[in-house]
Amino acid sequence: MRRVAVVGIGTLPWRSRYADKSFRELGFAATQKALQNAKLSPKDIDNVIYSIYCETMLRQQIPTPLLQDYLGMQGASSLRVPAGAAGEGYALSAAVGQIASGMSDLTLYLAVQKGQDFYSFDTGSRGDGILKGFSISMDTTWFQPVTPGVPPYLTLFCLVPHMEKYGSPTPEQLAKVSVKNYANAYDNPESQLHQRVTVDDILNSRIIAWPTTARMCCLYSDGACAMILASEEKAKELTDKPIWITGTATSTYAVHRAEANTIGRMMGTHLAAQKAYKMAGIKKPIDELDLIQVHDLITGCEIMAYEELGLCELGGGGRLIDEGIVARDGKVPANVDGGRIANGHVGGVSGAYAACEIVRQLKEEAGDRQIKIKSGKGLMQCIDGHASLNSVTIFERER
Amino acid sequence: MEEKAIQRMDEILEVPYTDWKPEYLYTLAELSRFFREIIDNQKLHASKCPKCSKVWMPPRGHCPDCYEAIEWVPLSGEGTVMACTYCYFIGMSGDLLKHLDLPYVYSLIQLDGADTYMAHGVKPKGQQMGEIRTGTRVKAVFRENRRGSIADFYFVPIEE
Repeated sequence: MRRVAVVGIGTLPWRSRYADKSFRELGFAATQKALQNAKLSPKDIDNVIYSIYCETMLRQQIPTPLLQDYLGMQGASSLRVPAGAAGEGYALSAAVGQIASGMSDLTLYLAVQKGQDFYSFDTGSRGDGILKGFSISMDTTWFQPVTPGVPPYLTLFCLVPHMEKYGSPTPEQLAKVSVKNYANAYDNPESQLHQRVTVDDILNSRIIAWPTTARMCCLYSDGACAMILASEEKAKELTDKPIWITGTATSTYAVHRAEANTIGRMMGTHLAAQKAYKMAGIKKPIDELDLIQVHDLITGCEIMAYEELGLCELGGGGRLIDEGIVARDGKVPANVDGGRIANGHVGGVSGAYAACEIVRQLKEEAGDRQIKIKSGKGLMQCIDGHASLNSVTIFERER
Repeated sequence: MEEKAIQRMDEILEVPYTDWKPEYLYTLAELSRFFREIIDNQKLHASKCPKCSKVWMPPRGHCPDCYEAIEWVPLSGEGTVMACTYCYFIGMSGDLLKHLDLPYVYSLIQLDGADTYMAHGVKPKGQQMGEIRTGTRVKAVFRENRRGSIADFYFVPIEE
């Protein structure tokens, strides 16, 4: 198997809505930045992997030939990997596989999604339109007609049973994750929220699904993000600072298997992490990872991710936030760019943004928010709706 | 450079797109029996594997562990809340949500006789959190107009 490196990244600032860019233009802008970052031209790319979550949201089925035409990459191979809000990781695994196998030498990995174009002409509300249009992502037979949105869904299947089983996290710990992520976003010029908030501000925002409040939820947005991935031979020609992808795995867990031993867990994240650690040769993640970029769709699943990734025992995630272990100056900082809570989120893109932040941090190019790099390894995890789709990827700089 | 280019652009034009409104007429296939019993008899049924005896809710045509075709077994419609979350502000996108007042107690319910839990809504009597909680006994209530959807019923607490 060939080694695979990231040799360029391109991120766009998070905005609730890019009224001035269509999905093609968003994809183009992110690609242009990534190509510039890698000092490459479009003709150098032999393969494109698209992370595009939702066609109805784009108002376009089969968007990939339209994008590829717009990018001027006609003739290159391509593959689109949609996997809900974990699609970024699933697509990244596919990209790594294609380069590792020799199918591609230089791949553009492009994550793009319009998330805010739905509208309800019945109520005159964009929010109603988005919630309705988005809801078809859930099981339309068993969930969609009765499920009050994704934050309640994750709260019910994962967070509440976890709190009842382990007595943790507490509402205060859930709020502290938001405070941390807002604080991290403060130094990220690409984040949407630059606010100083307190635990009380978070706890006193309106209850979406107890214990999850509005400010413990991500910001649904438009977004695009690109990376250039290369084989070892190409990477060494292009850069003296390649960031290697040394482990990547996915685990698709059950949807309708809610029982005492499955609720309150994100079992797929545990399984994906074990596979990715084995591939990357990581034995003790708490000592070996310099940072983790985890799926903070709600703050509860960020805390549960600490546990499922093996940074602590089950039920111990709340302690990591209390003791500052996941703070920017802690042992293993989490979501150092602000995460989905303060930057933005849209399925298929936010995990790619999280991956780009790992690349920036490992190259020590993160400016004011640069963390201390010790072992040179970072981890990206993402999940979908109620953690049925899970992905974990390990990045590592040259030692 | 890109930011400057944006500023030089004409004002962004926003237009509606309502030409494509998908409509569906679909079959409930192997789940038809489950929904027919709801529509005709206001009765819930679960799927039981004849080999491992596991009773699956929501029901499915085949046991995912044994790959055996399931058998339908009637349920009383009563069950126990295994986890729940009070929702006070939610998107009213699902059919059932248009018919119930807030708070909406989104719950994992183990129906008596079933092994796996079903996610559904419980309508509490009051507004305050705590009335519905893990262990609360609930029963299914069927709506007037039933059309072959999981939203044809919801749950209410059983009076002590």
